[in-house]
Amino acid sequence: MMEGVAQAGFYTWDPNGVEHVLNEVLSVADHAELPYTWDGDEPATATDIGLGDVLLLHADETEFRIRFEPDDEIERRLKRFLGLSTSARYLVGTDEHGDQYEGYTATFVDLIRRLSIALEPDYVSVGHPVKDVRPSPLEIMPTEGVFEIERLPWLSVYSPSLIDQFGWTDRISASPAWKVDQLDTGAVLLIKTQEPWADVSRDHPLDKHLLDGDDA
Amino acid sequence: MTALGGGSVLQKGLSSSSKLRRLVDAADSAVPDRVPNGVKPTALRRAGKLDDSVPDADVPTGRMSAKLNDMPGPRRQQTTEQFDQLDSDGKDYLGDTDIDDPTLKATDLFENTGPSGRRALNDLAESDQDAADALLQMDDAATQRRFVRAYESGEVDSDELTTALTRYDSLDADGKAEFDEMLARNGDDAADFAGRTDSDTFDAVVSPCGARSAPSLGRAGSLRTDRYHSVATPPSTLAQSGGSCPDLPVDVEDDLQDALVNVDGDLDADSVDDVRRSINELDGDAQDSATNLIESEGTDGVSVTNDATVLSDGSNSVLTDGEVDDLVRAYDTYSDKSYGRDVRDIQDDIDDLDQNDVDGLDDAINRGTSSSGDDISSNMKGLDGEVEVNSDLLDRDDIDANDLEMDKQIREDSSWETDSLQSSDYNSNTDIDSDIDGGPAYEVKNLDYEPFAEFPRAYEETADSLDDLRTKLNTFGASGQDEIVVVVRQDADTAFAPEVQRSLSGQLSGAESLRDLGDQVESNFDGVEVTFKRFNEVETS
Repeated sequence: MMEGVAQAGFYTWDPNGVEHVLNEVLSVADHAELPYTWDGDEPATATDIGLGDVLLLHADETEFRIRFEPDDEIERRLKRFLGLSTSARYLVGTDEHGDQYEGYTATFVDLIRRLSIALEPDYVSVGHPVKDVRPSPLEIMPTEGVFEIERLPWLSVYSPSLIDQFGWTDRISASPAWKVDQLDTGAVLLIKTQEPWADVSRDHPLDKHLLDGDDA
Repeated sequence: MTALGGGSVLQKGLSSSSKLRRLVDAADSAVPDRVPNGVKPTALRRAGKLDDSVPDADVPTGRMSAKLNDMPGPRRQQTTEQFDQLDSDGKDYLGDTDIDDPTLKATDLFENTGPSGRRALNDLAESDQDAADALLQMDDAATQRRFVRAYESGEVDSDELTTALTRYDSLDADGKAEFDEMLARNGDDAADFAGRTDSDTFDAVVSPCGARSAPSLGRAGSLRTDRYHSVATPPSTLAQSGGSCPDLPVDVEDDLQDALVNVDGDLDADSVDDVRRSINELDGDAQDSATNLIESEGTDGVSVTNDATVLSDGSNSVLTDGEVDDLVRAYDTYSDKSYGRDVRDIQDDIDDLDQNDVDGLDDAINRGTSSSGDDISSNMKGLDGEVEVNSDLLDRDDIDANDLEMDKQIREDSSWETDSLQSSDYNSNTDIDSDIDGGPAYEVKNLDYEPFAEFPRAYEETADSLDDLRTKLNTFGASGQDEIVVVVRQDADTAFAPEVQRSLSGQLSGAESLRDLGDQVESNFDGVEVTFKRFNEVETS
């Protein structure tokens, strides 16, 4: 059981506007049958959503916290427009031979998949929950200038255009990851290890395959 | 070769000097089939000159000239010159020593090591002729070279070289071969180790199943580790029964020896014996981790490995063997990180808690070590803080070990929900790091709440972590805990970063510090008090 908060960041080159994002999130919540409330007062309109406004999606044992970022002004190619976080203590691997997550972890991953199809982000990454233990989150975050991923996170999603930019078109489907899921949008969802964060090192075969072109 | 190899050429050269004639006579007496074919006149001359250099030593000139004949000219010259440059102690030694063919062996030494070997031999001849004998009698040229190089470089002084050579000489053939390989892998460090360590420890590392096993009776009085203090049978008896000499896999044994010879601290034979037995109890991965730990942590790595394996000994042990494997692996991973305490400190606290039979220690350790990869470090950091706080609590006069429970589980109860507190305000399944029966519940946060970078994601993550703490403390309060103590690494009144404050939502909106978060939790329950302490405040108040 890991303490801390697991956060999925959603990034795009062309933000669609917070109202569109909110509507899609609510639609995904409905389809996933996750009730939702605002943590505190509900913003009067979507355009009033600010930093402290959090939408809670309620699952059986806990909830997911969704934040919208209508005004990400950091100078970089990819804009962060959505954050999905939850307590890491509920995210666990499946049994050794299982090929699907169960329970809350399955819900979390399914939510990311659904949001990735609905919102078509160019990049999604789930950071490590413990900030001073993990490798630097900046290695998996778009910061300034051209986005060059330096290390692959536990879970990530790449749009077709990002896959093309990275030169992974011919390689990504054969990635040595626990899961390689091609979404209907053409994006690819990668889950590096079955146990969340079991190995987020740069030495993982997935990193060597995609970042170094090493197939060994 | 053939141009100089004929007998006529030899006779021509020999006839030119009475000294050389005597040489040939000596060679004839030393080598029944006369001077070997192909011996160059220069080799013969050098052999003769060498004989003059050490007049009191026996020079079997036939074999000497043959040996010199096999050397390239410059090396032959350099080698024989070393005899000229031997001081009186060295020359006297070659005349006095009882070993066979000392001048031939000295020739090998000088050819192998040059002037460095001559200087080492001079010094040993003066200080300890047995050590000089050992140096000359080394069969392995590489080992001889490495000893001499370690002395020449100052890595070992004269006394240490004497000790090292004496240690080496005491080994049987297998032990010598073992040490030769160790020296090849570790160079000067192994020579240094042989020179500075005591005899028992040297044998324990290099030849645990050889020279050491028989004669080491009566060492029980020198035990320094706790491991066998309660065992009536001394280690030496275990050695005789084979218990002291586990047969580790070759790669593990090599790694262990390499790690031990590089330990910069006081090793003793008993702890070396212990750790070899301890490692033998571990699975393959944990064996690698243990040798890594010794390599990186030195004597602490030895003692931590020994103490960790004790945790699974006996019928009332706190851990299983497999759980000890996990702990040792976790120590190896954690010791490489730049954060957290030394693994020795963590093991000290675990030993303290184990000896006091504190409930929940096994769960806490297993939670800290249960996963793999980077995850181990994450959970180990939590365990590090948790055992530190619980051990500090044990040191207090007002807390009885029997009243202390680690990792006490709490399940959310639907009856906790009110108009103001929904399910999302609680953790459905959490634990109390340290629960004192009739006293406070401690939540240990071995971290600070500073954003990792100046990015929205970092601010939000910090805000969400604070909300996670809020819901956890609400869960404590709802489960009936009146006194809640949160142990943190920052001042509770320090204001959060402005962006973090703006990212706080719901009940935490407007909170500026951990103190405000505590007040928020207090306001949710009658009679609940939340206090914050720094780690160094736990033991005193």
